[in-house]
Amino acid sequence: MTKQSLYVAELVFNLNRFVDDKISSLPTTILDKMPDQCFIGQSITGDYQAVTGVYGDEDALTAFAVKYSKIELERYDSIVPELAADFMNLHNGLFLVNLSEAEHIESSLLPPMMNPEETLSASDSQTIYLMPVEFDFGIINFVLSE
Amino acid sequence: MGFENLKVLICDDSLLARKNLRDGLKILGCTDITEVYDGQAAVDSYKKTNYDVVFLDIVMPVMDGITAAREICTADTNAYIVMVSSVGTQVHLREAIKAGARDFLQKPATPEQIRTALEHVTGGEDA
Repeated sequence: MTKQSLYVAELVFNLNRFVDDKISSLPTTILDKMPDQCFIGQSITGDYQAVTGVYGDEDALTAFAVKYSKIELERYDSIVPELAADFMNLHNGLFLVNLSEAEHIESSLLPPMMNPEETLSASDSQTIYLMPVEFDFGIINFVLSE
Repeated sequence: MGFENLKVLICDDSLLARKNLRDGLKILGCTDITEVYDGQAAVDSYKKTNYDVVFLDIVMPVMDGITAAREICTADTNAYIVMVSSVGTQVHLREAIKAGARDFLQKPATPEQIRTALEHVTGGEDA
């Protein structure tokens, strides 16, 4: 299995476990560059290096944040990116635990990024995967650049 | 000592992680709970107040939890630090213990895990 395949498998597992058990993983595509609207994410450093991200329209992201956190939110505000970044931190951490145990690859995480003024960036040598996931409230897009 | 008398410091940049930990601690009877958002703030707060237990995240801005644990344990060799992280690899666990941490909880920490950690702090069962 490739790291990207492992990442998707872990992502679906963690979305089922922590957010919603009724999701559909849509086909993965490869992008030329990081999506302009993707500012929530986290870098993985160490033996395996990657940039991860998440984005969606405000209503879908808000619904995602509510389902994950169980915190009632009436509308999109600054707490929504923070909660989405929290899920990425949790998921990425669990992914790295599995990577360490299954393949003895040791990596770490940098603090999550969630500044709307700073779009995530990837190096030219990396492949950028877009992994959309459909929920009953809309589509949330996950990005892995490795 | 019962849990209600413990002075607890929570250090995590995630508001959800802080909320979950705070809620779990309150259910267990803790009332003296202080929250900070990065490792440097934890070190500064600990130097002002000798907490009975510090719950420290690892991945944080300004100062990471491993560095903060090391600084707190240098200032107080009796400090009781519980690392709470999503990155519970053997390498991170070893680093945490080397820095002085006494316990390690994999996120998301369950109420049972928090209770067990507090029992270790108090040296036995809840009073």
